Amino acid sequence: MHWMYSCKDVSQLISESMDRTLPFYQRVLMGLHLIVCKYCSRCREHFKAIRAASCHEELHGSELDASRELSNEGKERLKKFLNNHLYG
Amino acid sequence: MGKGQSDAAIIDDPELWVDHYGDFLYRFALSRIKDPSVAEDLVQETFLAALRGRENFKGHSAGRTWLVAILKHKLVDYIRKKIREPSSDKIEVLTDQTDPDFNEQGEWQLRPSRWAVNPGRIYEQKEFLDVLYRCLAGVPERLAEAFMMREMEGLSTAEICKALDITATNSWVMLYRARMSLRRCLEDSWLGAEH
Repeated sequence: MHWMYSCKDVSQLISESMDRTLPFYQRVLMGLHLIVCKYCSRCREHFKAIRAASCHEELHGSELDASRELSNEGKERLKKFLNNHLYG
Repeated sequence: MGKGQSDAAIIDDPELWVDHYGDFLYRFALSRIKDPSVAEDLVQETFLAALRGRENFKGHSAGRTWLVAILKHKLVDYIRKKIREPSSDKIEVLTDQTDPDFNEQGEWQLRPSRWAVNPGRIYEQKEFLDVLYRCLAGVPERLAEAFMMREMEGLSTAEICKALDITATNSWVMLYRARMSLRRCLEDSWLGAEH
């Protein structure tokens, strides 16, 4: 790869860095690019926001509406359904 | 939970699932879709998928987290069918040929805007989450699948490669395309983006 990365290259590297450890030289060149390019920095923030929204949501069950519950009939239906698949 | 049983023990006994996880999954489904009967159906589909894939539960995450990950797949499938987004691989092909984000020099063509979200408190941004699910439903199925395995189930890329029978390089490309597609869609659809 060329010693100076384009924004397209950097956006790919930002994504890859979320899935594996990049080689040292790529980390350095990506870091330098990010210092001077606000759009790529925003892209990184966007990827982070998407990750945060995707993976942490279930940790905040208290944010869900606790007054909503399955009806007793609904629970019975589900239990019957599971039993049918377990033993039917 | 607080009923003195470990998560793994509850997952081992599907007869306990409704009482332990039913209400939470139902609420979770209702936070994304409004119809109570659809929410109940999705909980049922989640339990069925969990029943069939019980051997995949390795206990490295909590049982509830595992079930929520399955439910998220079901929600995206449901939304995809409902909005009838073309889930072909057309977008995938398109990004190969004409990348809408960059010009030929690899510079941003559609410059990323500033988003009014704090990643640490993102769960408070209900509108953002709603749009994210709608956007995910519009991502080509295979890309969305790789993305959900990685970001919602927390699988490593090695596990994704094995499940989807792809190379590591392919998995990075697919995850990149999924993220870019979501980023673009959120930028277009979410009012919190400042252009």
